[in-house]
Amino acid sequence: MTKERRVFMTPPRTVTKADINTFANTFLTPLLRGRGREAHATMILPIIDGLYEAVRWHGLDAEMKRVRKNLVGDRPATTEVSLGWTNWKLYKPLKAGDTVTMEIKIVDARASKNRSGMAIIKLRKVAYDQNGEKIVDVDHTIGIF
Amino acid sequence: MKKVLENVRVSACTQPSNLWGKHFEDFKVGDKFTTEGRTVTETDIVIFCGLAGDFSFMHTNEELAKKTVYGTRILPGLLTLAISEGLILRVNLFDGMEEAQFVGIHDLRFTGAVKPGDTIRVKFEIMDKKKSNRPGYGIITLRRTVINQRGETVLTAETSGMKKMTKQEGCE
Repeated sequence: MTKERRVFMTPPRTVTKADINTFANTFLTPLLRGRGREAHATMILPIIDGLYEAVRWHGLDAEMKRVRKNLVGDRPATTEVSLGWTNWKLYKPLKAGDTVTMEIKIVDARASKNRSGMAIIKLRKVAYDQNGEKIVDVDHTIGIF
Repeated sequence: MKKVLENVRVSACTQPSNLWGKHFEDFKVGDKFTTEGRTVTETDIVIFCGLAGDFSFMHTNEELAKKTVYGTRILPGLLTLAISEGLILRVNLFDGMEEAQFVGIHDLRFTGAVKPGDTIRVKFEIMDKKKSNRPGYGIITLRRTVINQRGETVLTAETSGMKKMTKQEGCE
């Protein structure tokens, strides 16, 4: 078991009414009341996951590969899969016009017991709005093999 | 116009489960439901990845994805969650955001890959119901299982939603 403490901060992103409506109309239902004003909870995780993609090439990816190397050896990582999200806590709604940033920290890492060569890394993701108020925090577990 | 609205109100009172979704009191722990199916498409992936900004090669690069254990691109797990939520909402048990606010995801696990062309549906069960701290509302926890056309489970999650406890205003 490895504990890591380095924190990564993403660039900001403004969520628009168009984002919220497109998401609701395509994946949820056009009948969803309140759409256009605030994002449905199932949209918040994709938004912060997209922010994660923005920082992974600026240190986080290298950090995760280093952790994986320590756990399962120096083989090239080929695939990264999302295994699950836990400990989700929503503090306030994400509304149209909000600008979101996120901090990411590796909080746990271990070698998979079931899959040889796979490291399982848990990231703590905390999203904030433009006023620095917390919107959501959640643990994201990723498998790299 | 007034007459039309009155008729709608009557319908809402007499057929609440058809027009406006069920109330908190109508749900029983152990109730089970199954949604319609939905075929997921490449368009779903393109729209979702564009909205989220998630351009991981597993979702957007067919040539690289061919070399993985999946043999092709797969859906982002959160897209499967979103589509499953849409399928549940369209069963019309839970009304819109203002009356049935989604308040928590407790344990979301991706147990299998979903590929473009797969058809998924959701089985869900009411696990718990309790009064909310917010007066007039209750919290319902349900366990969802998303299965594909082969009957394989691809996603499981426990989620909670806030639901109005009282009947529609004006209804007896």
